[in-house]
Amino acid sequence: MSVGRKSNRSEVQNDHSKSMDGLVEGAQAVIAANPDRASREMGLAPGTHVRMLRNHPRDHAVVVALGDARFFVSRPIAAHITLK
Amino acid sequence: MSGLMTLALVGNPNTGKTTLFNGITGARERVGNWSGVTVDQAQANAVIGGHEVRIVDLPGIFTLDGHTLDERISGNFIKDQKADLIINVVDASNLERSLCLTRTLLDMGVRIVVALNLMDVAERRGLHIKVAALEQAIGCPVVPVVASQGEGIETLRMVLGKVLPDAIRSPAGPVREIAKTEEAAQTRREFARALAHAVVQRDAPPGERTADRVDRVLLNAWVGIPLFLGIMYSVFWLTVRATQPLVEFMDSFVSAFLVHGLRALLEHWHWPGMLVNVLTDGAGAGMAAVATFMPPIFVIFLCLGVLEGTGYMPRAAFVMDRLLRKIGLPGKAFIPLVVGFGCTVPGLLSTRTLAQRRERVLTMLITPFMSCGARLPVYTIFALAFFPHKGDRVVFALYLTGILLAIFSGLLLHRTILKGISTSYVLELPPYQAPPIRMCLDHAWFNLRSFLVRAGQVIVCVVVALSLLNEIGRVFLPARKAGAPESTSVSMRVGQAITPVFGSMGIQNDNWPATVGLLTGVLAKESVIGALNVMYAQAGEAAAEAKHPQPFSLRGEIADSLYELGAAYGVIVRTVKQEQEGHASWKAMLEPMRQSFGSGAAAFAYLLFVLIYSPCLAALAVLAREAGWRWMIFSVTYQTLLAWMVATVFYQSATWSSHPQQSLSWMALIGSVLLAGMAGLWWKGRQTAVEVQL
Repeated sequence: MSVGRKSNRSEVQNDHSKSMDGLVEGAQAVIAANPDRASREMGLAPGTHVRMLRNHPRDHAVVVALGDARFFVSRPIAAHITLK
Repeated sequence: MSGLMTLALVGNPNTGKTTLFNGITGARERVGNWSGVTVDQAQANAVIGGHEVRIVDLPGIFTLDGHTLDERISGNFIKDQKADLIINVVDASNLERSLCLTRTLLDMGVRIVVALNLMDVAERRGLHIKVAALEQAIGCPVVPVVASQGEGIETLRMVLGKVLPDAIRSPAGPVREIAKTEEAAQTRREFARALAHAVVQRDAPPGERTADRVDRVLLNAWVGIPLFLGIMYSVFWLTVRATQPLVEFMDSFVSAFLVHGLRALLEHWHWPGMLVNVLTDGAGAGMAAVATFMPPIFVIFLCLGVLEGTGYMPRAAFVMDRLLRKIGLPGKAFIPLVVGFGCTVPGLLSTRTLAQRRERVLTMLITPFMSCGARLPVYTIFALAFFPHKGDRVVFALYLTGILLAIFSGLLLHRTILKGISTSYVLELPPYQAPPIRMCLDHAWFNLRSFLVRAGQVIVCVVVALSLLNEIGRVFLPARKAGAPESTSVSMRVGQAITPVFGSMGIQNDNWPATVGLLTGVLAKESVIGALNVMYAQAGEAAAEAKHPQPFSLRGEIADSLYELGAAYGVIVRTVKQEQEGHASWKAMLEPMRQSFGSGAAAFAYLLFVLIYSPCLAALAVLAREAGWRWMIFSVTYQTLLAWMVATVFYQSATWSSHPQQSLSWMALIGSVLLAGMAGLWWKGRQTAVEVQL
């Protein structure tokens, strides 16, 4: 999948874009499921609204906003967080 | 445990627990603007409502069943019912997440008082919290506070004072077991979300902030890495160059009292010569050496405190993430490494925030390469002696060498005996904030005081011991040869026996004080400069006094030191003659040092060795406790051998033209040792699968 930058804001990409690492910069979504317990406890829990702030393919982590909080999320964890 | 009531501060990471702890107890525990500053419990007593109580500050947690060592410390403390009352520190700017833990504590049936901290941040973000509604919903007292400014702490103390008698009369029963299923956790999260929606009124929906735009620039690797290096260079410039005149001033000012003044006084009282020498050239010079380095130590900790306070550190961790992953570490490991620039011991302890044992061990093995503040005085004095006009660049080069060697060692260990994949992680970005000046000054003062106490104890003991050995040597050992510096001391005998080992890195056999300095540095790095000061300065002063015996004048010495300080900062203009006579106070130590080392190449090789060789005893004790004694022994052996190899390679390269064949032989030997060592590690890595504990 190609991760577009600043395109089609407020929408989640299709194909494997159901995962957090497919969310384009500026887009928003709601977490549907997160199998990683540690990140769930930190706030990346189902039902939470997230907004992608930085998603560069070369980076090993993405930066997301959860309300007023900001998080680095390692790409392997982001890949397993599904969005709706 | 005594019969005191115990109050524990519990909350999510980076909610200001330690700041509140300091505010309630008057303690000066380390604080910082990122998650995971506190990795162990701290405690202090306080009187609240007429009752003396013990307050315990715990590492931040999200649940009671944490993944990392620091989180388990907190979880176990609560589950083992060590607290009679819990002060639940809640982040007002992120209420929903904080309330999950509050709900967990309430479900367990523990007695809590909520401290609603960071109210100022919440208000800046347009969040208004209905405190009374929150209090009613959770059924326990809620006190709004701004711990960083001391607001609300008195109210919190009053509320605690009212709750304590109840807690004394009817102690809380055993904690209730709570369901650990995902469904139960989701229920708690939904409770927290609903409650946060009900009690928080928001001026505007959360959107892009200025900080997000700043992050867009800072988190870019092309900007982030040069910016980090630029910041570190600025720190070293401020620490070394800007404070140089102050260092010289402190040296002459303090020496006027503790060395020359004390000597004049004791000689006036006709005290025995041996005792006068031990008290002045030993204890006095040792204390003067400690005091001399107060300015750079204060400045480096102030700079690190400012960096930690702004919220920049986790951003730097993000930028370094890619690099650290190449050596099998997560970006999070960057924070212990940066903490190591201040002191290796808290740097080693900070690795508790890492999830894997392999990652912790690897980070602990490379943290000592981050040159700690205690080594700074050695660099400063050598910079003054050998590189007076480019001292900041020399110090920066040393720090950079430490970072490069950490990367090299990380790669080597990651590919041999500490193989594994770095864990994925989630790291919260704290908000940017202007560094709280009082906290930064407190941080710098606390570290300076620790340096003074530790260095004072170690240096004074070491230099008094060295002076005693010198004096004993003068009495009991055969007379020295004419012209040899202090050649009849016991320390000289020990130093001379070991010095040939360092010949390949430019330390000549008669430069045994350099070796003694290294030996004392194993006790504490702070003591290197004290030991060098005693041995070189005594030789220098003896020579200077023999040439120009001068009557002592305290007023004259103080006037001279103030004059030098004014001239260095451009307040007073010096004449050419005065310029040539300047820094007279340093000549006692610097000139013999210059003569003994002979060249800048030998001096820099020595500094490389000081940078790399074995960590101090305190760091080794922590390493043995946290990683195990085998890793501690490995660390000492590996670092000392590497230090010798790097220093030798540098010196032989720098002096290649003088003795190409000899240099070639040393290079070949080191190449062989390096290859053999790498082969050994590779073989060991194949034999042993390193246990990875989650």
